[in-house]
Amino acid sequence: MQPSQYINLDKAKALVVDDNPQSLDILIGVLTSFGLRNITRKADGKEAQEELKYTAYDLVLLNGPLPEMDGYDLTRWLRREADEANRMTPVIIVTSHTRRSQVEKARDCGANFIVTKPISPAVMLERILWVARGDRMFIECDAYIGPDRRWRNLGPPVEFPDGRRRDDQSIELGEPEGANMSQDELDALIKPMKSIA
Amino acid sequence: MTQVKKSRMKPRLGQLMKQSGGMYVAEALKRADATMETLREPSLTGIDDYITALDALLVSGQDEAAVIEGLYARAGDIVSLSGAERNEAVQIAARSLCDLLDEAPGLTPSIVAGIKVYIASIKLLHRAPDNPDLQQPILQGLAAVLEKHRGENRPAAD
Repeated sequence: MQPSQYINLDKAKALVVDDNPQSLDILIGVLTSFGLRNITRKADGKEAQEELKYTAYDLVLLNGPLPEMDGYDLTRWLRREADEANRMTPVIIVTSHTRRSQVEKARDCGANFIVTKPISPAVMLERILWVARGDRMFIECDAYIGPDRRWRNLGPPVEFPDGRRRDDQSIELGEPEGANMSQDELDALIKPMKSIA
Repeated sequence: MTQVKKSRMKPRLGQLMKQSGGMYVAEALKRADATMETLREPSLTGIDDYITALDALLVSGQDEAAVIEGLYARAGDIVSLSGAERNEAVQIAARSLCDLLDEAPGLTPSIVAGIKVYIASIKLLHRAPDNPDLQQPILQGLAAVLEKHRGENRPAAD
């Protein structure tokens, strides 16, 4: 994610579901700051499921634990039973804590990413950019439906905002130590040589 | 043999984001930070309320499972709002309390004592300035409490 990258979320439609009103306000505040205007907010999983039956969304953000139907079950339903318009919609789950008993369920539900709270704007925007890129295959088999879980981010290291690791060489070029090489010297460097063996 | 179908994901979000208009990433993050700042004080007040709720749940007299569920949910709520704090200590402490409650076999006297230590610690860390010298001993103490309970709950080796 480069600071000079341009994003336009004006026309995107998002569904945000969290049963904690303050946490929902934070999520929506951050998304609105990114330019997302068309946001539907819901406080429980069943209401969100009804919404997803009839409306197509470009992005879905769900809290992990939710009343009635949790975010993992809702994502699983979305991937397996929802209408074609929403089946591949990017889903980001945000959660404060994942119970030990739910780790496998979270892994297998078909979400694009699971992000731990408290949310950070930089992490959230980065995940949105990643899901928008659409460079993961969508996998459908008996045991799993969702984005390929073997996907890795092969881009610049995310922990360093300028994309450079601490031990990378400096990009600054110093003053030359000696005179430039002549053309003959350069040619000699790339000239095929006969083996002396 | 299980059949695996693979298809290319082409999210509409990606196409919409490339349209003209919008803003630079740097601008979006600046605006989001400003929004977070406006939500800071309400979030800190929210944490005050959740700490009060933790205390109230412990003496509520509800059945054990309901108390553990309630405490777990409130600790999770504190984690949700802890981005408003000036340091990560409250987040670490509240998440560790979630671990303790998730693994608790019931409200034994030892677990209740552990929960009380957690609540007292979160009170100390909440709204405190970012001072690692103050935070580290508290967090190390909480890690020891969690480790002690994990040791007690671990099945004995044959």
